[in-house]
Amino acid sequence: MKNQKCKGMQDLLPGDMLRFRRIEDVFRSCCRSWGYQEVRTPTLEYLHLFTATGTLTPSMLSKVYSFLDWDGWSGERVVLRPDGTIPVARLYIDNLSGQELARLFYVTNIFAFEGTGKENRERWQCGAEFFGGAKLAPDVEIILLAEEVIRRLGIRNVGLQLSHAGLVKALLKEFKLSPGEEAKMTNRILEGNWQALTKAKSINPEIDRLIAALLDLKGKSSSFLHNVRASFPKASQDFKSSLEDLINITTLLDNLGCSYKIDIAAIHGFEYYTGVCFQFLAAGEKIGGGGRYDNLVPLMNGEDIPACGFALYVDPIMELLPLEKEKKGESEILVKGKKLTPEIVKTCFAVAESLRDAGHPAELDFTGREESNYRWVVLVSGKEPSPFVLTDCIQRRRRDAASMAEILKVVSEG
Amino acid sequence: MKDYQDGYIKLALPKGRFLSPTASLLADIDLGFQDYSDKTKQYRLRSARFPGLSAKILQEKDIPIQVAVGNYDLGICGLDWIEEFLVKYPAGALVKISSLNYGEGSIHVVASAEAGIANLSELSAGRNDYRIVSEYPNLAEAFALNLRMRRFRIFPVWGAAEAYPPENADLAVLWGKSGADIETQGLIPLKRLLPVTAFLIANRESLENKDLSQILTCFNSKLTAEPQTSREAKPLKQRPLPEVLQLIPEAMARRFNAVPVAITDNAFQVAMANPADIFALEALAAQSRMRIKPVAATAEEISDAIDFNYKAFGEIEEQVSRISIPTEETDEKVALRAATDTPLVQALNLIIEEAIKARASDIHIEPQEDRVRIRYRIDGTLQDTMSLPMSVHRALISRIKILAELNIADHFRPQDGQFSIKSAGRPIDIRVATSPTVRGETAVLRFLDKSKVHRPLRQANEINLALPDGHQQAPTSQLLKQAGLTIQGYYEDVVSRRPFTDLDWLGIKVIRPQDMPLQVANSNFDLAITGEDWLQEHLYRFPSSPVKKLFALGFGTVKIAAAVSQEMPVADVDGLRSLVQSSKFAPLKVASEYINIADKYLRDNHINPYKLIPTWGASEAFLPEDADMLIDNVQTGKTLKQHKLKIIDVLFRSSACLIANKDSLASSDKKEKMELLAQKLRAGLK
Repeated sequence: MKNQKCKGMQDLLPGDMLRFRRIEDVFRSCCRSWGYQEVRTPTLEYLHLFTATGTLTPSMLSKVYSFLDWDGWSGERVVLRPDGTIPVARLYIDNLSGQELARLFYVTNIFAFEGTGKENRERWQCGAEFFGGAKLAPDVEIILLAEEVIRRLGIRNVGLQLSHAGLVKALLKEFKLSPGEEAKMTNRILEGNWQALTKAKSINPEIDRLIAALLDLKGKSSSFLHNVRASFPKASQDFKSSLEDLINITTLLDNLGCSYKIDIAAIHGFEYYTGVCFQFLAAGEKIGGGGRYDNLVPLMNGEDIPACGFALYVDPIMELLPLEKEKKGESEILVKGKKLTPEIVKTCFAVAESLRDAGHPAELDFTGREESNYRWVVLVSGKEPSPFVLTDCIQRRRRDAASMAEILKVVSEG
Repeated sequence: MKDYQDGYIKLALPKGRFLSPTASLLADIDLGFQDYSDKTKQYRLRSARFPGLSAKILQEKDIPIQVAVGNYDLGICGLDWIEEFLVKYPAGALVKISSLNYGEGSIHVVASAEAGIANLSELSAGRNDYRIVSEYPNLAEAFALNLRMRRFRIFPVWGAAEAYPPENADLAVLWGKSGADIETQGLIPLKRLLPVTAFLIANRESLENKDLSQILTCFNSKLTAEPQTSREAKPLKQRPLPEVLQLIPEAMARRFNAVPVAITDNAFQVAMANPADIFALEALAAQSRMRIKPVAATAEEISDAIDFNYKAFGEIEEQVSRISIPTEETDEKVALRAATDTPLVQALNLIIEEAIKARASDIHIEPQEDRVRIRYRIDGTLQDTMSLPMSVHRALISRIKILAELNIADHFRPQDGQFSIKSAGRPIDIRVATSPTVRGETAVLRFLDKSKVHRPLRQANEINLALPDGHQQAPTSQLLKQAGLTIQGYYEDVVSRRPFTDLDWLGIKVIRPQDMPLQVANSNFDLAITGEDWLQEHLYRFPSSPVKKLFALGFGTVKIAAAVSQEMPVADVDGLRSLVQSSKFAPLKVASEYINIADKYLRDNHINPYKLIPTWGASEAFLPEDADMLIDNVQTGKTLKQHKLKIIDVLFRSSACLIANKDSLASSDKKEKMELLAQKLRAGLK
């Protein structure tokens, strides 16, 4: 009977891990060079961290992996971390609240149930959070940091889409719905169902026009927003101030030469956004996203600390990187023993160690199988005066060697 | 394993509450099951009419899972158990075919009166840690998450959920015959989740691949669409909300035989005896300035509803019109005199009565430019209810202040007070808050319905004891008698959930023995009498639990045994292991009420792979078709023999025992009394 891995879970094979570590290395090095510090939160958190309004949407809550812990007779449920930002906010509040500013990053797995079993239920994220950074500069900082990581990974044709949670919320308010209905509408929008907004007619026909315009048009510079502002002078104060905020951010992005598309529908999934939101798309797929969430820390019983952040999704990014194979041919050396005598085996280990100390990866083999994909092969025969036979696999030459030093010399010279 | 061509159709039928109505339905549609009655000893039935059709009688709770798993093609059970399953596994293999239109009551979310929760929005906004107890933990969790409740803990129970509030739970999700019925138990219904009707369900794959048409045709005469949401099920006269009634004056309602019901999606829903009456529709639309959506109702229902709903507002207006205050008069004395006049007193009483009828939590009385606006807060939102002429404003506020013993002369400072009235024989406390505004004083009246607490507010008991219902009740009450403990309401045939004892420091509740270890572990009870099997089941799940067994009580002795079909070629557990390893029965399906005991037994005996099927008793019904082995409690072994099963291993023996919470035992306040009680029981054992 076959061993089966758990439905919805993925194995990462050596080729996958090479790509994974490359993404992780680039991300970590970029973050550190921008002054961010690495943190890690536990895999298990209490469910109640995620239940209040303004954390996860009800639809996401219905997909968490939750269970009773070992001392769960008290009814307290724990979950496998379903999100990266909320636990880091908790870590910040519990441990770092003395710091006015905190730039933190993490590489973490998150868990969400998905019905078909074909999608990953465990997904990896590279995320960064900036606590204490008030609007504008920090918003642009996190966008540029994310772009740098993407660029250094060599991913081409990535589109940045911008939206603003404050704008969307101000628009919703114009419908003057009861709190329950507004919550339902918000949930639908967060799940990507914008039809709900066009179907409901607001009391004010100008608002309907505004919504139609915003859903239809995709601006590419701050000028678009200036046009919106000019065309809808009667919009509410909330709308105007959010629009102002987005204008400031896009103006700065324009000045820094950053290209983007303003798409009001680019807000997806998280209830905790309050300001600018953005997502990165490559080949039509989301590879990352983030935004500003000034209400999260106070909601979690912290101080009134503004915050913004983003996460890059490792799994789709891995797909976009070429599959690397270990380039064995270039540097690996195979050390073989001619016979399995204790003397020869001992010598093989010693040779391999010397090679490794000198910086060459060395593999041992006593099975006598065919050698392939190695740069050099050292055969330990134990015969005097030359106990070693060194084969150059690329130039297909063989020579005898009398000492370790000789081997090292030849191998290093390549 | 599944053969769609063989024409065998398996139906799962319920025992218990739906047995009789289901049996009469099946007789009606002539499915041919002779032995389906509450007297039957058989679990397996064959249809005399359809040769390929067979049925099994199962616990209702088991049916949705058994149909989803594919052991049965069709099933009949209550909507509550179906939704309990579907809310957790929405994409599953279970399909609801239709309601069978019989059933009683609904599943409600209720709160204890003491919890101080008047409506749902308080739960969403609340920061307390709410304890929710329910036989339907999935429904309870879905409710809490959808309401965005922040902190909550769900305690699943095997039954008797109503016994837990207020001391041991803040909310419960349970079955109730009606909202009124729930109130008589001292609980406040907050929301009706779903009606409990019997449903016909099917396995998705069976529907897609098997020919069930002959059977489905029989059901056709009884098939209807799924019942409407709770709105429609309420009788017509109770549905209109006050602000809706305002849109159509009574005279018009009577003339056109129409009653306004609700406003939905920008349309005005009006119940009409003649929904096609275009003159009526036009007039109503003109009056309300809204699009009319007519809903059919009988003339009788309509006239009932008009009498019930319009009477009150008409009467209020009538009373108010009798108040003799000329509009320009602002004299204090005149206002004061009017405040004690019958018409105004009546008007205020009626305003309060209507608010109670509408289940409002507060009444807001606010002077506007040209009228006094009265609003009720219902389910968290303030709704316009009626307006009164400005002339009565002063008198009305004065009347309220008189009742609440506030300073009538002071119109410029906010004041707080309280008064009581009697409504429908029940005392109602009303908290008053007045405050000055530019246009005059506003008043807010908040309700606290004290009568909803039917028992006197309980003092916190020093020691809490849980006693079992069901099989264990009789021998337990025998033991308690022998121990010299006088307990009223436990020895009789009809057992109360809160029996009285002569020991004033002891509080007793009667709950299901399966739930006791968990309830003792979380300190709801200090002591409990339950079975060693349930204790063991709890400890295997929570090894560091603070529950311990004090001593065995010698009755209710059973064996916890593993049994298989007599046909299975194994004599003991080693044989079983070999059989499973040879892949003949892989995975081994094991049915048990004791999920954790079964899990541990199978792991310890290296029986691999296995699949556990939780059941709620009578596991022997599952073998051999739906499970390969059962682990259950056995007394004489007669039932097993009857079902052609044999025991291959005895895990342990279990009898009733006294369990205690370790922390309570260690606490200086409780230690003495707990030991006293334990000693008495020990003495009673002789």
